[in-house]
Amino acid sequence: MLLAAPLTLLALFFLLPLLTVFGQSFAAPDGPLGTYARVAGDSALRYSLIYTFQTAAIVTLAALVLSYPVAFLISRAQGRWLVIGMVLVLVPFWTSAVIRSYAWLVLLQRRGVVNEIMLALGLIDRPLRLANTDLGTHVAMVQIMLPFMILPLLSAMRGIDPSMLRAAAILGANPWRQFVNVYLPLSTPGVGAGCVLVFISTLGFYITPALLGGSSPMIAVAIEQQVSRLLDWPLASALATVLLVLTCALFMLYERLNRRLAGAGEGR
Amino acid sequence: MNGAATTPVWRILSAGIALLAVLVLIYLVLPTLVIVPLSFSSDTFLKFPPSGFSTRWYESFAASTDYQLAILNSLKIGVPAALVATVFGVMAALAVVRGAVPFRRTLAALIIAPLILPQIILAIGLFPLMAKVGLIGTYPGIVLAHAVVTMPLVFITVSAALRNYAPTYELAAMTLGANPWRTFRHVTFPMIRPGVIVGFIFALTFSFDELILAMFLTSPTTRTVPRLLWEQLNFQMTPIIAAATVVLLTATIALLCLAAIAGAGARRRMGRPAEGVNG
Amino acid sequence: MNDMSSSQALGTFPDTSRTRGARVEFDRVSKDYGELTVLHETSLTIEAGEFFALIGPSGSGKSTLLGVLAGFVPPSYGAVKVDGTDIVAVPPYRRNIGMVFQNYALFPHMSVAENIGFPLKMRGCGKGEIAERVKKALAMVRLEALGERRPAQLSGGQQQRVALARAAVYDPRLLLMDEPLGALDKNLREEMQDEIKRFQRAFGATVIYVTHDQQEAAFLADRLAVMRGGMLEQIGTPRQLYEMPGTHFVASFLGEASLLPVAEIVERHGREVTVRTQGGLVLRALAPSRVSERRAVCLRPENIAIGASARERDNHFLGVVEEAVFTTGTLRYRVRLPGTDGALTVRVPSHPGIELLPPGASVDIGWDATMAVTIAEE
Ligand SMILES: Nc1ncnc2c1ncn2[C@@H]1O[C@H](COP(=O)(O)OP(=O)(O)O)[C@@H](O)[C@H]1O
Ligand SMILES: [Mg+2]
Repeated sequence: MLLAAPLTLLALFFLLPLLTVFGQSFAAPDGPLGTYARVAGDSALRYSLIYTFQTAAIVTLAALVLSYPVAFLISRAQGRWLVIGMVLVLVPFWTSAVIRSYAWLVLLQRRGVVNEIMLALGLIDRPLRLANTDLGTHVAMVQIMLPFMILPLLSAMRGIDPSMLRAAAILGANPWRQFVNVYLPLSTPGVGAGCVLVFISTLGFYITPALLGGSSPMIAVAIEQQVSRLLDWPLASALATVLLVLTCALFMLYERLNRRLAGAGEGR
Repeated sequence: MNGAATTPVWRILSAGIALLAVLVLIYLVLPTLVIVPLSFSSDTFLKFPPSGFSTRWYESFAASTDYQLAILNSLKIGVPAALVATVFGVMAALAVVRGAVPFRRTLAALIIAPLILPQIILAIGLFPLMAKVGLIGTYPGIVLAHAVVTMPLVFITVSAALRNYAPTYELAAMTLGANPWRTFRHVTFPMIRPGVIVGFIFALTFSFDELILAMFLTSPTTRTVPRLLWEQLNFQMTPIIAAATVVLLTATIALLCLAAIAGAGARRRMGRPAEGVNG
Repeated sequence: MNDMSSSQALGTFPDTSRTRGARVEFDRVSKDYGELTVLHETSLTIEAGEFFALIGPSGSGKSTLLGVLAGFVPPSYGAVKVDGTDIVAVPPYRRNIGMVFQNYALFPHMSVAENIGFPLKMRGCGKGEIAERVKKALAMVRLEALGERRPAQLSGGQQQRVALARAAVYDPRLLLMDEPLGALDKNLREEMQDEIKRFQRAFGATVIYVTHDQQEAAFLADRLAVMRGGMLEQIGTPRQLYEMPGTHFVASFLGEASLLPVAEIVERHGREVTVRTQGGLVLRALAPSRVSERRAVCLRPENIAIGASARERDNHFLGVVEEAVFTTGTLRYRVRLPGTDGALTVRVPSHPGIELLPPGASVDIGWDATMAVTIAEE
C-alpha cells in the first residue's frame, strides 16, 4: 500500500507531536485546566493573543490591497514581462525569512539605512525609532507575506477566461462594472486562498516579530519565550494548543467555503 | 480592461493601477537588496553608507569554521530530508491522485497540514519526544522533522504533474502487459519526472531556510546556517552576516533557476506526451 | 447608437416593427500585430437587416474582423461605420451590439436569469423591468424553468440558447455570432440553425455570423463572404458562391469540386468560352468575367451526368471508372478522362433500380456548358 509509508511518517513525526503538545498542556500541577486558567488570567498573554489576531488581520488586509494590482498586472503580462514579474515574486517567496527580516532590521534600526538617508536629506534631525514599533514590524511582515497573497491571486486570475470581460463589455458594462460584477467575483477563490494563507502564516509568525519586536510578543514568540527562558512547557503547550485550534478551524472553514464555491459553478 | 477603445478616465485609472503595482513590486524586492552593498563594506560595524569597499567580510566568512560547519550541516540535513520527502511525497501523490482511496480531500489536507501549521507547534511537540529517544542534536532527528514539513511541497508539485495528463497512458501500459512497478518505472515516472525534480529542489530550499525546528532540534555541532545566522544576529551586527546572507541568497537563486529549468523542460515534454509512452 | 441607455427605447423582444437592423460599413480596415498583418485592407458593406455570414478556415481573420466591429480589436487603419457613424473610438460597452461568443462566455458565478439580466442592469433598468424582460427572453428561447440554474448545470444546447437570449434581451440592432454552434454535436447544430433563423426573422436585427461550416452558412445567410489569409476572397449569395466560385479556394471550400486546368482559350462567345485543357480535351464552359485570368474549369459532382444521358450534353467524353462507392443517398464515382492526370468526382442519386459500376468500366460522362465555370486557379 503506497500510503502506508507517508502516513507512518506523518503519524510519528506530525500527529504524535501534536498529541504531545495537547497532552502537555494539561500536565500542570494545579489541575488539568490549570494552564488554561493561567493563560486566561495573565493579562500580558491575553493581550498577546489579541495582538496576534489584530496583526494577522492588518497584515492580511494590507497584503490583499497591495497584491491585487500586482497580480492583475502580472496576469495580463506576456513573454518577457511575465517572466520578469514571476521572478520578482518567486525569488522573495523562496528567500529565507531570516534574511529578509535581517534586511528590514538593517533598514529600520536606529542607525539604519532609512534613518541615515532621512538624516542626510535633512528630513529629520534625530534618528526615529522604527524598529521595535508596530508600524515597522507590520511593514516588514506585509512585505514578507506579499508572495503568499500574490501567487494564489495570480493563479485565480490566470484562470479567468478573457472572453468573460469581452462579454461584459459588449453587454454594456463599463470598466468599473466589468471589474465589480465579473472580474472580482471570478477572482474570489484566489482572494480567499491568499487571505487564509496569509492570515494563518501571520498567526504563527516567529522570525520577523522576534527580530524586530513590537508592542507585544506574537503568540509564536511568546511560546518560544515560555520554553527557552521560563522553561514552562505546560504553558507553552497550552498557547500552542490555542494556536493549533485556531489555525485548524480557519483552515477547515476555508476548505468548506472553497468546496461550496467549487460546487456552485466554475464549470468551464 | 481589454485593450479596446476606452475613455480617458479609464486610461488614467489603469495607468494609476499599473504604477501602484510597480511600486509594490519595488517594495517587495528592493529592501532585501540593501544587504548587498553592506556586505562589501570596509567598516567593522553595519554602517550606511559604507565608508569604503572591501571583500574582508567575505574573506572572514570563507575563513569561519562556524560557517563551514553550518554549511556542511545544512547539506547533511537538507539532502537526506529532501530525499525522504521526495520518495514519500511521490508515494502519497500517486495514492491520492491515482489510487482509489476513501476521504481523498481530507487525506490531501492532512498531508499538506505540516507545511501550513506554525512550525513552533511542531517544534515544542517534537522536542520532548525526541529527547525521550535521544534524537535531539542528532542528524536523524532534524532530518525526519524536515522531511515531514517538506513532504507537502513534493506532494503538491507531483500531484499537479499527475493531474496534468489523463490516466489513459497508465491504463494503456497495463493492457500492454506492464505490472504496476513497470508501469510506474516506464510510464508514470518519465511523465512526472520534472514535477519530482522541482519538488525535490523546493524541499531542499525549504530545509536550507528553516529556522524554528533547527533551533529546537539541533545542537551546536549539528546546527544549520539559519540557526547560526540567527544566533549571530542576536549577539552582534557585523557585516559578516551580510556577506553570509548574500552567499545564501545567491545559492537560493541558483537552486530556483535549476527548478525553473526543470519546469521548462516539463512544459516542452508535455507538448509531446507520446514521448513519455515510448520511454 | 446613442439611445441605448434609455430603457424605454429598448422595446420588447419580438417587436420587429421597431427593431430594424443597422447598416455596417468596413472602410479600408486593416489590423497588424507588429510585423504580422492578420487583416489586410478590407472594405465591406452589410445592409440593414441582412443575415451575413463570414466563412473561412481557422486563422483566416474572421474573429479579428468581428472583434474590430465589436470594439475588442482596435483596427490599425480604417473606419468602421454603423448607420454612417464611425464607431472606432467608441468603447465596446457603449456600442450597443449583441454578441454570442464561441464558448458562450456565460458568467459562471451568475444564474441563467442573472446572466440574461446583466445587460439590462448595466443599462440601469429597474428590478421589476429586468425580471419581466428576462422572463420573456427565457420564454423566447424556451427555458422558462431554468432561470435559477447556473450555466454549468445546463447542456450545451441550453447554454447556447441562454447566450442568444442574453445577447438579444436589450434589442441590439446588430447581432454578432462567432462560431456559436461550434461546440455542439451535429444534430443539435441543425436544430439550433432552424432556431437561429426563426429568431432573426422575428427579431429583425442585422446579423453577422462567423462559422467555418459552409453548409451552415449557406442555410442561414442572405449573403456570405469567404475569408482567406486576412482577406475577403469573394462575397455573394450562397448560390452565387457555390455555382460561380471565383477561385479554386472558394470552389473547394464550398462543397466538392473537380478542376480541369486550362491550357488555352480557343474561342469566346458571349458568356461562354471554348477552352482546351492541359489534357488536350476541348470543352465549353461559362466565363463570368476577365477570361484571361481564368486558368481552370470547375465542375460540381452533381452536375455531371453518367451513362446514356451523358451523350446529349454539350461536353461529352468516354471515361474509366477508378473508384465507386455508395454513400447514403448517392453513388459516388471517380472517373478518369483520357489524357488527364486527375479524375472527376461524379455523384448520382442512388435507387434500387441503378447498378453500381465496377472500377475499370468504361462510361460516358457529360455536362452542359452552363454547368461548368472557369475560375482563377490559385
Ligand atoms: N493578439 C494577437 N496577437 C498576434 N496574433 C494574433 C492575435 N490575435 C489573433 N492573431 C492572429 O490573427 C490571425 C487571425 O485570427 P482570427 O481572426 O482569430 O482567425 P479566425 O477567427 O478566422 O480563426 C491568426 O493567425 C492569429 O494567430
Ligand atoms: Mg475565430
